[in-house]
Amino acid sequence: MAQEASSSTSSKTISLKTGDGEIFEIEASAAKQMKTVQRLIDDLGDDITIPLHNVFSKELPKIIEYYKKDITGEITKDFEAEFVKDLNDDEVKVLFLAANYLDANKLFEFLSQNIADRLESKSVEYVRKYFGVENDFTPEEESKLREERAWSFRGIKEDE
Amino acid sequence: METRSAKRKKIAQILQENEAKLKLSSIDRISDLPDHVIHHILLLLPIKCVAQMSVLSKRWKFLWITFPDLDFTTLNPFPLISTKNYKKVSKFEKLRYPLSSQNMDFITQVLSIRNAKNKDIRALCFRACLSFSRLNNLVRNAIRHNVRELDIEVDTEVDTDDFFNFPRCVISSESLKVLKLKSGFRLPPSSIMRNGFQSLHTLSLSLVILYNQPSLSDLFSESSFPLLRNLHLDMCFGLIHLRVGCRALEDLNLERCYHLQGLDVCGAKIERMRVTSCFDAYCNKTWVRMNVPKLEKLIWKFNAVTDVTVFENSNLLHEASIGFFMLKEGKVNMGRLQSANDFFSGLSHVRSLALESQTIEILSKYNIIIQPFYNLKSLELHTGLKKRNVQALAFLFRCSPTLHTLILEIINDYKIERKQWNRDLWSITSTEEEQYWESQIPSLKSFLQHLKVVKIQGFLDCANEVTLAKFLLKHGKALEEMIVCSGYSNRRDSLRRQNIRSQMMGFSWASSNAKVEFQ
Repeated sequence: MAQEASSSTSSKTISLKTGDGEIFEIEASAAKQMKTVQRLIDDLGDDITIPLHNVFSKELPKIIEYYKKDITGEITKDFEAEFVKDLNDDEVKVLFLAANYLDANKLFEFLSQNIADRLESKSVEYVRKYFGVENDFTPEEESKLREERAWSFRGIKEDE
Repeated sequence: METRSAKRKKIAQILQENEAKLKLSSIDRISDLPDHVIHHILLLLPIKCVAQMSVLSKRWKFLWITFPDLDFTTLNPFPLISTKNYKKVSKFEKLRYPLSSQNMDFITQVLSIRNAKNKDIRALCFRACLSFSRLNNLVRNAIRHNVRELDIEVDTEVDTDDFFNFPRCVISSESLKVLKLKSGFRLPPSSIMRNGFQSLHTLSLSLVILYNQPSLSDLFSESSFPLLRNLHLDMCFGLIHLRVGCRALEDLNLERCYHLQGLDVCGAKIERMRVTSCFDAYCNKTWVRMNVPKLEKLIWKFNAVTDVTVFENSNLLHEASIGFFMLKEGKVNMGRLQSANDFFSGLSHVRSLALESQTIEILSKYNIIIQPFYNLKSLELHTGLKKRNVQALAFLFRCSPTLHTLILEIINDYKIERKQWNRDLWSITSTEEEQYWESQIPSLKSFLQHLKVVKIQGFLDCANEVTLAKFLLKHGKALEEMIVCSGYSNRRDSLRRQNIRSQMMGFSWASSNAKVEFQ
């Protein structure tokens, strides 16, 4: 069976299957931007449906939307602002984890910045909940640390 | 050749492996991400937040101890005013910049909780008032952690300390790539500085006290600073002679060296040069020598005209912005005129040139013969467009035979009366200015044949600019676009403005493609 030369992959689409069983199509050139997907394509061939166990049908369409814009070179600050405007902090977190898993660099950088922006004005307790960090300090250890870091807790605005 | 069934088995195997791998690493909690990924987010946050997060858990404390970039400048972003100097500072500055009395002792503490096992410090940046011994300890500690970037602004707290000495431990550092130091400090002798800084690629020194070594002729020599690409020297008090010859230098920025009398720049790789507010305007034996064949961009502003200029031709020069500085009572003697001429001849290959108003004043007042700029495509002139400037403008146009874009920024000095354009004058076909411009047509032939775009800013409907605009429209054969941006004026003038506009649109233009836009 003769294989066609892969020079015309620009119009080819790849099928991606999410962890909850839904299938989405993306352009091959968009798939190239997600290094994990590209690696799977290299291993498995581009005819097969690529399984993505840790990405779900809630977030994959958003990611596809981002890279659709990226391959046409249309990503602007306005587009990025629109992209995250209606997402709450948890939704951004899920997208970020997906971008990390997919090794999608541009989206990863953009979402890192967005998470940093969101967390900048939040309290330490909020960050603890957000990242799901379990406190393994004793109360004495924690208060000693807080004292050492007093300079960083100084000048916190009341409304935060 | 692989059979289809063998291929299918291989695919199935890879899929299974992947599934197993992924099920093991449950990535639904960010906390399970590797350190460098979390550091990635933390690096985008101000250091205050990162330090706060160190109390969350042991792992997060570890993330803090291994955090590579310690940028404390986000805590006090304003320029430093120590308590010592606070009384001397003007009221205005006090309002703008809060007192930097914040105790920065914690920086020492932050550095001390890292031990040698932990990751190196990549960057240390802070602004603080502290004693020299404190500063020296901090710097030494950072160097021990193989710091790559040091960006420090310091001032002494105590009245008795006058200036710092340069922290010498940085000289021998092999990891340091960027050093930015702003303080009142003295440099060690060149012989000590010269052999160090083997890895440095960016150096910025600000507020340097050089009264005890006014001549830095061998510090930045060809053999010192082997990797230095960016050099920035600001406020070098007492610096009289400077020679810069570092082999790898690409970007040189010299500012506010008011005592400078001699400057010698010799760099085979220098692409960008910026010299502003330098040279002693009261000295009459100043000189500058520049041999920078790869220079692409030159900014030369607020510098007194030197008595001697040697400017080897820079063929690659793309963009230059020139603004000579002249004392009000200053006279430009023959020597200086020649020097200015030599300066311009070094610019002769430039493609884009901007001239500040004082430079045009000098050109207006004195007869300087400049060779034409054959490559010049864009010319920007800042001028008050007074009567005496008109000739200088015509001269500059003559020197720009293939100019594409002309930008005129008219500086309106309200103290000086400029003749208003009077509607009746329109019908008089030749005022003195108009006659002058008409007389220039033969010498401006090439200029008029090439000029495509004209932009006039600060247009105030005064006789000179209207005459010029009219002249260019009437005779600019290749003109495509003229944009006229109004300067400030009151509503009374708007009617006259309307008149001028309709008249300008009314008569016949040399170029049928031309479009005039009023903004």
